[in-house]
Amino acid sequence: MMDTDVVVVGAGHAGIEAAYASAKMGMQTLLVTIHLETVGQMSCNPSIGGTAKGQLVREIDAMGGVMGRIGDRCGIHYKLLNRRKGPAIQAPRAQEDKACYRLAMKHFLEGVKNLVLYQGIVTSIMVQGGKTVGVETLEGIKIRAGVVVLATGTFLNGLIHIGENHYPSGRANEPAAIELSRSLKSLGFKMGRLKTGTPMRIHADTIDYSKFEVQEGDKEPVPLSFWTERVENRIVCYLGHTNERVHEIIRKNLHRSALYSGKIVGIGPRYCPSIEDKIVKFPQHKRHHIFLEPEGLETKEVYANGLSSSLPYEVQEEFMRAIPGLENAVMMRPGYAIEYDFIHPTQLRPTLETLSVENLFLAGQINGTSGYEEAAGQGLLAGINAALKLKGKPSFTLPREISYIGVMVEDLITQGVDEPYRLFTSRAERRLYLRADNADLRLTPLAWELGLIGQEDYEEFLKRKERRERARAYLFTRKIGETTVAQAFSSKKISLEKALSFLPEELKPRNQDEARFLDAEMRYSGYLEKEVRVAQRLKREEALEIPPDLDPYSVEGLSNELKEKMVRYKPTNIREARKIPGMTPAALTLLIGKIKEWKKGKDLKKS
Amino acid sequence: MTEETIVAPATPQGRGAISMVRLSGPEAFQIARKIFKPSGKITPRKALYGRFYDFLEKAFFDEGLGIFYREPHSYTGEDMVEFTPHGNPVIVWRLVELAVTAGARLARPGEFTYRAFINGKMDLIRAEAVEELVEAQSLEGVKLSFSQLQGSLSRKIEELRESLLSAAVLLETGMEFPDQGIEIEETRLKEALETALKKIKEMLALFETGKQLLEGITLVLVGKPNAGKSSIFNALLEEERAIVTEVPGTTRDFLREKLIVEGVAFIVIDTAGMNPEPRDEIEREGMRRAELLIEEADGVILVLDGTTPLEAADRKLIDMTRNKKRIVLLNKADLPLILDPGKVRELTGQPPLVVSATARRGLEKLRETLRDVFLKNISPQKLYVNSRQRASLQEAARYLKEALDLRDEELVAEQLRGAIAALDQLLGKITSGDVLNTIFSRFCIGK
Repeated sequence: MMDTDVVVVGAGHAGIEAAYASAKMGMQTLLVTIHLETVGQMSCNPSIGGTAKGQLVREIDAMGGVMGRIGDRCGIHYKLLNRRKGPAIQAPRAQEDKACYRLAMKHFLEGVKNLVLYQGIVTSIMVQGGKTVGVETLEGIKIRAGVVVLATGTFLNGLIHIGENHYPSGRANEPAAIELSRSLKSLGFKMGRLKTGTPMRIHADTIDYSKFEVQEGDKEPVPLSFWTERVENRIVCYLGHTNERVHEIIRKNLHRSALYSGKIVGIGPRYCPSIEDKIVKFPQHKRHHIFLEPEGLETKEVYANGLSSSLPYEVQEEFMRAIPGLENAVMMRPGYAIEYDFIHPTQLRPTLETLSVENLFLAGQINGTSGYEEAAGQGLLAGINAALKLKGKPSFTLPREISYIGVMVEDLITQGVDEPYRLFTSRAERRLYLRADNADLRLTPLAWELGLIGQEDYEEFLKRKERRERARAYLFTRKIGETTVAQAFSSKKISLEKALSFLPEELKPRNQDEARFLDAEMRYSGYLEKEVRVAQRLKREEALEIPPDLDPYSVEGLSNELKEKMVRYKPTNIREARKIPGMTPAALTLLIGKIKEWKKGKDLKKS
Repeated sequence: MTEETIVAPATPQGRGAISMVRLSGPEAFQIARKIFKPSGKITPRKALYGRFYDFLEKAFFDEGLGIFYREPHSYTGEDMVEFTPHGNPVIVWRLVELAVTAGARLARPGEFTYRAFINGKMDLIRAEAVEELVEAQSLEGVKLSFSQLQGSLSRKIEELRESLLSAAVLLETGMEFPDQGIEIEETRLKEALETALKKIKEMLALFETGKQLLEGITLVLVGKPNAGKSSIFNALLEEERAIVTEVPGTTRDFLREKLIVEGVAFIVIDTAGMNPEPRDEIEREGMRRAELLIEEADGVILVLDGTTPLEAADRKLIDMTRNKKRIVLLNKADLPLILDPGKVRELTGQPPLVVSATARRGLEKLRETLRDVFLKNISPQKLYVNSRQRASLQEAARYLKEALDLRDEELVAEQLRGAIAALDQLLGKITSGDVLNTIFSRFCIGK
């Protein structure tokens, strides 16, 4: 028997952020994981960041999360993506030393006040009167807790497929959580099945690098965290290609792939297909990219990005050796596909608490997402709300207008998922505003209010903020001829370098983030102002209150299903109503019309 | 699916051979059975003969047809019943009253079509076409709105949206997957934007002609007092009396009549009493109104008195109508002409038609000229654009024009999003309350 405020199940990227946020907010937190050696394990590719994900890591970092800071401690290859395009879509990405990341993360968490790491397999959720009161482990230990956060990743009823073989597992060589899945089903959750996969790992010394193109990191690498001063590149990556022979081998053996033999029922992500998928769906492509990414400094394992596969071991070996430069390569781990259970996220509140079981929160792949960063962002939000709930304070949600985390959560709970959900910049309406360079300006003040940021870090942030704001104001007021510097730059009359040269010495950018911030603010100024106006208008409409005595059943034209949901969710304004799963624009229109009509009726009665 | 069952007459008030009453909603069948006793078994989508029963008076009061439709195979997408009793308002309203007593609610204007829209039976463009079909003023206009109802404009817009979407998708892919080396060529993007813009401009051009076909071409008769405007007006309309009807919204000051030429309606306005050289406040006010009319009209017929020399008033009118589509008449040709047609031609830049309203001379030529001047460019079109649709198209065009001036991909993408959203608005994919409210309140009960 154990007692704690918050128990977090799973110490992957979601569980870590959840536990850290909850502990930081003063809650006694227990982080339970199947295997303490794999805390913060990067199960698939060795990189953090990328398009939209890079912005997301910055948001997590700005909110006091750990992913960016530990990532910078173990980063070995940095690249700012879309460097030739505009700042809004530029995103940092770092290749990590996986072992370093795991160890540094575990070590860091071990030193966090209020946080206990514990090895165990959770088998069921204890529920009393519609509320969770804790969890029970395989050993029969009851862990009593005020709040339970589930961050089970691919472990829920995980099933690994390699060719004709398949076996229950949560990740290669780790047990699956089968009883827990059953426990969730018995609580009445609507669950589904998803699939993901990972490629083979190759021994570095068996690769003929002369056949590959070197991919250097950036000359001036950009850190993941706002609080990291500088980072270095320690390795290079390599770019190579498949060829017709590789494709032929795969085509010949398609029937032996778990995916194509019908053994896999879960739905995989379209944006991250296996090599057999790419060859079947894009037969016109004569070759596909392969990126060779070292998994760390003290290992010879190299991640073969682009070769994710569920073909049998011998077929993987055969097609690998048909790839130029891998003729003599030795495989250290084969690629595999994994199927796992997820809970349809339309059963969640915007805080990630489940609708049906109070005090039970879900974060990460269990909600149908994919990606370390997506998981971490949800973990953070769930951890914050777990603590707030126990403190009896109002919940914390992030609007999609100010964060990618908000975009993701709103998409998940209102639209649901039919394939693993990944963030893209195009999912955000305010892409020009939700940038990597201003994530701290957007979110750090909110995190400070919640108690997630240390005093010293906050003071550093305030200094950064002041510098950027002063420089911005200077560029928007300093005239050159008829126009301001900002106008001259945004109309492409002068270069960025030239524009920044007008700044007084003490305001000249000290790092790339400052320069990028000023670039974006000038380049997008007209659009950002317009966005703000649109957002304000939306906000007014969304702020329209739904009178508590308005009976949803009196709204004509609304489907019965939506009427029931209105009764269940009790939205107090249009914004909340919009978030009800299955809500449609037409239905909202009916609702707004009804409220206006209703208010008019009230006014008439008054007069 | 909606909770309430609605009822309304579908035909106008008045007496005729038959009328129609419609019921729609979950209880339509149940209510219908109380007031209609068919001679056979109820089979959906089959016209059934039967008697109408007044369950309050416990008596039959008429006979006619009833058609039952099962959802979703009906106009509204709900269970629906259509009754065709004899065309007497007393019968029609008794049927409605009985339906209401049995649990139905009187439909609001346009509610049947509104439900069809809500239930996904038609998009916004088609829903609007229903109203325009009912309101069309000419056969060409009817053909036009029917084609619209069939979805011809919707398809065009969908195609346009599709092409913008594929450009956006390419652009976004390049930004989202920088490792994959997918880039949209700048020239191809520009081409796509320009093509889309051209298509939108073509659709915008449909606005004017479409409006004319649906609402009629407005023609204003102008001329100094006693030039013979009214006699020309009467002469023009005389042969048409049989099909001339009263045009709603007639202003008290000026006479308006409808004239049909080759299936197209002309709304002819006689500015009787207009004096280009007003002598008092009343005449000044009349002149102001006439000027406004001229400005809004599609064309003018300028009537000159052939028996008097050109006066200042004539010159003033010639000047005022210089930029309009214009037909110049030299009237009173039955009397000796003083005014020289050559001189008029010199002044107006066009040869006048010499006519006599009282002697019915030159009228055939006038009708021919009307056709040449106003109908030549109105080729029978398959689609049109109304003013709401025009506003959305203009918005989309603005976004595309701005996109053409931009170099940053993420900014071009922003504009594309805006343009696509404008087209979605047009199709009613995302609709704000105001749009819907305006559209549906314009319908009449039961359409």
